[in-house]
Amino acid sequence: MPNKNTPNGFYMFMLEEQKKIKAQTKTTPSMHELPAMCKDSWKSLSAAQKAYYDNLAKQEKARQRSGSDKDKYRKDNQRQIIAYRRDPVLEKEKRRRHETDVMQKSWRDHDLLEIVFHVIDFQVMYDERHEDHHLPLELGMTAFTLRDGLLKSLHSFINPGEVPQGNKHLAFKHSENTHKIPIDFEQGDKDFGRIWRKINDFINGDATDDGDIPPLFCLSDNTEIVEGCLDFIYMKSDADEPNLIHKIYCMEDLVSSLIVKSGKTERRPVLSQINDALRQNLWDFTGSIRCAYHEETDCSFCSLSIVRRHSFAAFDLLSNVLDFSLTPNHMPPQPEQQFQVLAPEAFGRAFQRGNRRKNFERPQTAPNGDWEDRHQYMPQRQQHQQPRQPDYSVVPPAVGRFEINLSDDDDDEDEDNDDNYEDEDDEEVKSTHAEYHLKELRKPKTLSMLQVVSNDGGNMPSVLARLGRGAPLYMAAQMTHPGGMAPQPAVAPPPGFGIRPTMPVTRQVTPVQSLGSGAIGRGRGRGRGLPPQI
Amino acid sequence: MSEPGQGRARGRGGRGRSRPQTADQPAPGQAPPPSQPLPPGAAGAAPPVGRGRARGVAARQAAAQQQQQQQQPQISQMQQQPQAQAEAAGAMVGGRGVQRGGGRERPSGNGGPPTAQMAGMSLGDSGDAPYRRRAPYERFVERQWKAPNISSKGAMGDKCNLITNYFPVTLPSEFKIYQYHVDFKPNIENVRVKFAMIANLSEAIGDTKLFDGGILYLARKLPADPSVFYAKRAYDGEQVQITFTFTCEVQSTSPQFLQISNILFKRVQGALKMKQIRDHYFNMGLSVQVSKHRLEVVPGFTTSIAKYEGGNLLGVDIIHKILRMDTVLDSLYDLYNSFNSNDISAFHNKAVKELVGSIVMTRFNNKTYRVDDIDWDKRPTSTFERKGEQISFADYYKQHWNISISDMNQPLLVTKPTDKDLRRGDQENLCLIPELCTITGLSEQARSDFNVMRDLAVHTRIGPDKRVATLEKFTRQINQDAEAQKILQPWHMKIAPIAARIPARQYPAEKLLMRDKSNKLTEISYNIREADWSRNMRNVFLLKAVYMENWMIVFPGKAQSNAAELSDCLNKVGSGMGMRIGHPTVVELPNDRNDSYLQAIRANLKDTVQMVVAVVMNNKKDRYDAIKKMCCIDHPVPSQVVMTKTLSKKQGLMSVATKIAIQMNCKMGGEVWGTNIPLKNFMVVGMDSYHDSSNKGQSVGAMVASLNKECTRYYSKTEYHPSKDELMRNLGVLFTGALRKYHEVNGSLPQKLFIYRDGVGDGQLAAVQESEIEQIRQACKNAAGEEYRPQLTFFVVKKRIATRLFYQENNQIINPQPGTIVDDFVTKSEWYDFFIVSQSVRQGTVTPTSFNVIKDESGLQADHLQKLTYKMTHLYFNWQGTVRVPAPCQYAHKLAFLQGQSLHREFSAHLADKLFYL
Repeated sequence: MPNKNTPNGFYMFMLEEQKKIKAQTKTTPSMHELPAMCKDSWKSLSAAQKAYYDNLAKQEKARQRSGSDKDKYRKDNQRQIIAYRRDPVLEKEKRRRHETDVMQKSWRDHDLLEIVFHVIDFQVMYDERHEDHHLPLELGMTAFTLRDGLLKSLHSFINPGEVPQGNKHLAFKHSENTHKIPIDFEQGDKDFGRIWRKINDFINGDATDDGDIPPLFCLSDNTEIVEGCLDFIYMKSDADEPNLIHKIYCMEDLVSSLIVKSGKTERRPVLSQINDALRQNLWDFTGSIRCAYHEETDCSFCSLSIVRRHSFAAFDLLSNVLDFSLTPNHMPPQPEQQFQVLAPEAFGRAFQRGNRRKNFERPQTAPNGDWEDRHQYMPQRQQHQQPRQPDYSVVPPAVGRFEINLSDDDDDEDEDNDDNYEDEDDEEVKSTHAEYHLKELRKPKTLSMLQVVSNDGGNMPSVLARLGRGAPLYMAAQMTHPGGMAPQPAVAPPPGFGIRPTMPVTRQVTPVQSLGSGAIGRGRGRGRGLPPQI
Repeated sequence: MSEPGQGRARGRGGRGRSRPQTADQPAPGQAPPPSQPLPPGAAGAAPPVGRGRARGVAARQAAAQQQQQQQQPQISQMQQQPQAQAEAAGAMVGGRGVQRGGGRERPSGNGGPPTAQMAGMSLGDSGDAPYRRRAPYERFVERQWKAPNISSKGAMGDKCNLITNYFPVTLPSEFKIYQYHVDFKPNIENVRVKFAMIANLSEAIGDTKLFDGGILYLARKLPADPSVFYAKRAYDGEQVQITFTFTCEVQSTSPQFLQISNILFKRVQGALKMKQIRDHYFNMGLSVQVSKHRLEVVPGFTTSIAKYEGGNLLGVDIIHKILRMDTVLDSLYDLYNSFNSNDISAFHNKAVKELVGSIVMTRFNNKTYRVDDIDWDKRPTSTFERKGEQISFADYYKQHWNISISDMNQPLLVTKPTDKDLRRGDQENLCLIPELCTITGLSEQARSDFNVMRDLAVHTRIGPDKRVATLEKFTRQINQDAEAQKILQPWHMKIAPIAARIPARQYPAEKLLMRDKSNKLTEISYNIREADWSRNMRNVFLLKAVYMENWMIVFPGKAQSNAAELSDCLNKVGSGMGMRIGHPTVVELPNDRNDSYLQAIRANLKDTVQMVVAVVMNNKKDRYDAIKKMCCIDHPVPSQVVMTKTLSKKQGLMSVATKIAIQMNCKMGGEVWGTNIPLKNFMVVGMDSYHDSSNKGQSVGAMVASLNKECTRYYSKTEYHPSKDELMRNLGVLFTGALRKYHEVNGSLPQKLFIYRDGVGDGQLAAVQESEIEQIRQACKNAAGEEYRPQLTFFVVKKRIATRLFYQENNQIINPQPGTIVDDFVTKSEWYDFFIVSQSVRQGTVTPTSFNVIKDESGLQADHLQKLTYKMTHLYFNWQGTVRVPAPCQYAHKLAFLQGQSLHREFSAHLADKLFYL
């Protein structure tokens, strides 16, 4: 099959004729009509004239191949013109940017803290690349405002009917690996009309003044699933009214837009980090936020729990940025303390006998010079230099990925982490900056929502003290350091394995200017680099 | 008659070529048996062989200009519109054969393996553009991986002789064969019909021929070129014109001849009455039935002929296929009868649960399928469309396979088309008759059944003596069997009946550094045969013990006695190892729900806690995941999960506790033993990758780098990369981190980097070289500036290889002892590669590990690289013995596994300098 895009002599001739005709008649014949109009005059041309056009065609061809717009004439292995190829990833990004704009515009003249946001999640029968449909098994929705926390939630199991022929294996596997909802679940609702109405009623109550259906939020990885499931439910519901729910936005965009809107930072935080923060595992198995079935199976893939977890995480991320205070509505209810701490004496035999019969006479310095540089495994007490917090520091400060470390101090691994991105592309570099910004934002160490910024522990609202991690949450003194810069790492690395003896020395010895080029300019001294060793 | 080649001579099958559908060769003229029981459309239409490829060719030849811009035409995408296939089939005339004419365009006249043949073809199409796909040929076969002046042979250790599973193949030295391109007019789509026609021409072209549907190899030159013959199509008597066009001569010394000999060898196996199942040939006659478990073990061979330093060698290894003796129908009946009630839907659910997902084999054509569903409404009497007609399954099997189906009331199994089928255009689900299907492999249940595994091991784990005997019997059989010789003789191919004996060297046992009771450094050794020092380290202290002063033990109330014993035992064994273990914080849970664990750990995790020990009642994955997620990501603290089952045996408790204590010591950053490595300023790095079970399309790449001279402390870091390209993308980040940490610990940067990379195939060597090594270089620059250029040595580690080594001692053939090293004869001349047997196995035959040095700037001798590699296999602290791969590789594997299975995101950087994932 000849390549139709390749110009030949006749084609060049036609173009010329086209121009002539246009000049004469002011009409432009289309390329469909032209061959019929030109073929006779082409045939009557002499060989030399034809050669002229052939030559033109050759030049044109060469131009196409080497010109700056050559992608317009090249095809990839799927016979799509390269210049017009659409990258699904870019497309999605574009869409998200657009949605973010629309979202931000709609917030104009509204108090951010009063807007009702809806979060939605579906558990599906299977999630397979080959299958273009998504069959919902469970629906979970929440509505919240930042000020008041969770307002209401909706939960329903759905029975989408028979597993499509041939997909049972997928369905079994997916159920087993994730949500544990059996096939043909008896609690599943088969009345799609009812489910559709429920969803609509849930949202409609919060429609804005101009009657717009508010958008639904879900994680960016799940937009396709949510859209697919909503379409499926709508289709099955045989609803008369048109489908008004078409705004499925990414929750990461929501959070980042809110952070930007707060005006406390110019830079947009990095979405993947927000995604991580939203998906954090802190409440994965918190019982009271799950549906009854998943509570019973002790499973974390519960739509209801997922949407609530996302909401809680959002509150946590935003509470300091947008200056609203966390109420019991902003966090999962505190479960009863389940465990009991036993005295060691009531436990093992060895401890009754006293386990110090052997005195480990460990030399303070290693005997062999060879090993000398590594005596960091001193008995624990000696090296724990940080004064132990008084009794109330029962909550270990979380040091997760999204923890915000404000200190420039000591936290080497973290620094490594950040600096490592240097050689990555822009995106990654951005990410470190933004990470930093995110850190700044969450000033005095909001570890998670559980930690309440309060200048005196005694003044702690009583309700908060019980929430979250199942222990009184008071922040250590450093958390309340004014100005948001803690003087020392709020979180000591887990003790017992390595103060890093060589490290402070190294740092002093190492001149900053000998850094690799990439390491400089990161500011804040985090690019503590290494001198070239050759 | 011959079959399309499926040689894997170079470790990688020809790209885009399909395999023969069945092993049996139909008699000439017989109507071709369809390859699949129910291929609506496919059975009647052109056979799938090479269709995708053909279409690619058609498109390419037509639009040569466009083709220059194609980078890697993907077969998968070439067939999206079904109607385009007819056109493709038409365009196939001439396409395939021309294209397959491997040697034609190559000036040297050398042929090449199939990958190269593709490349050769396209050179002709677009002579002006440098064709990129020619490169693979050079990469795989000709590329020199070692510097010419460096010897890859070592000399250290005691010399010894080993027996291998390689048999020398004698190819004729002065022998030429002639390659022809075959054209049929009118075009014939079915390969089998083509075979039949070529077979009928044997008078004219001679008996010595090898035909694969497009290319014909002949031992003699035809008088005329092109030669034209006429043949009658058997089923309709139509006159067909067959044209042979001469392409080139193939020398018996060329790589293409090796490819031919591989094809020949497949035919030999066919002649020995072996049956092909997927890639390999199995000896159905020798199958062993384990009636107790209703299982059948079928022995077979994997074979390949390739060129090594010792000449052309045939590598043979024994493999097994496990089949159930029952058909699926039997299983269905068993299941049905086990239900007392008449609850049909319960039975259906149960059956679906049991059978769906299993792999079944249809005995009549030895093909395997995965069962995706059961269609309870269909019966063998149901019909399907074939060649535009409706035919019932029963009739179909009667007509085409001469099989009568006895039970007409059985439901049918449904199998979805695989990716490959989809590419080929088979979009429909297939139905299989349960009666004709046998389940292959073991069920999960059987796999965890100790008795089943033990009984099977008798047949599958073959000891060295029996293995050598079987292999040599196989080659003797080839040499004696008249049928087999009839195939090999005309090509002057001879296979030695005796396995090759090769020189090897044995390293002595390593000395391990530990501490004696007065805390001085001491060396322990071990019995080299066992390569296990659990007994030798009973009376010594750990190299660097961490005082576990402050730890927490969490357990449900039911396991209180277990937990108490554990903590008691830990205390006892700890004192014997120089590891003081103090009072735990004892937390008892009322139940064993996930949240109870999390809540308890969270609430009691003071920042002085060094270790969290969780005693769990069963191995529920989500709980383990939840605990690990919390302890590795949210609240970084080393953690140890112990099952009550392991604690319940009273007599073994001490040794269990010892292992746990050592493991905890490592997790807290301690060191157990070390080795003496006489090098300075070096870093050993292990890399491995693992597919993340929840992040779709993402793989975890893990890197573990040593931080000290003894290689006992490690820095770990992970990255994510798309799984479709196996190569790691973000290595830069990993290496910068590791270098920084190294600098922090040692005050200087390593001068030498030894990188052990696991999980790359031979086909990716060049890609690894280009991408990963480049990233590492860049990372070095980023970490320490332009002037810092460490000497890189890059090993590619392969565990799954077919090479086997045996040691002969007083007429007895045993496994070579750990520390045996082979760097000659069975290695490739272009590669800097060697094999090490580092582990000791109790049962069966040991598998050596292959190391391929694709980059070496260290300036060390081969001996030293080999010795270093051997030493590194001693440093895996979770096992008091040697392991198969260098310890950093094993650590990286562990880490990638933990992250891919449980964590699903990067672990906290606070743990990076501890082996918290052990």
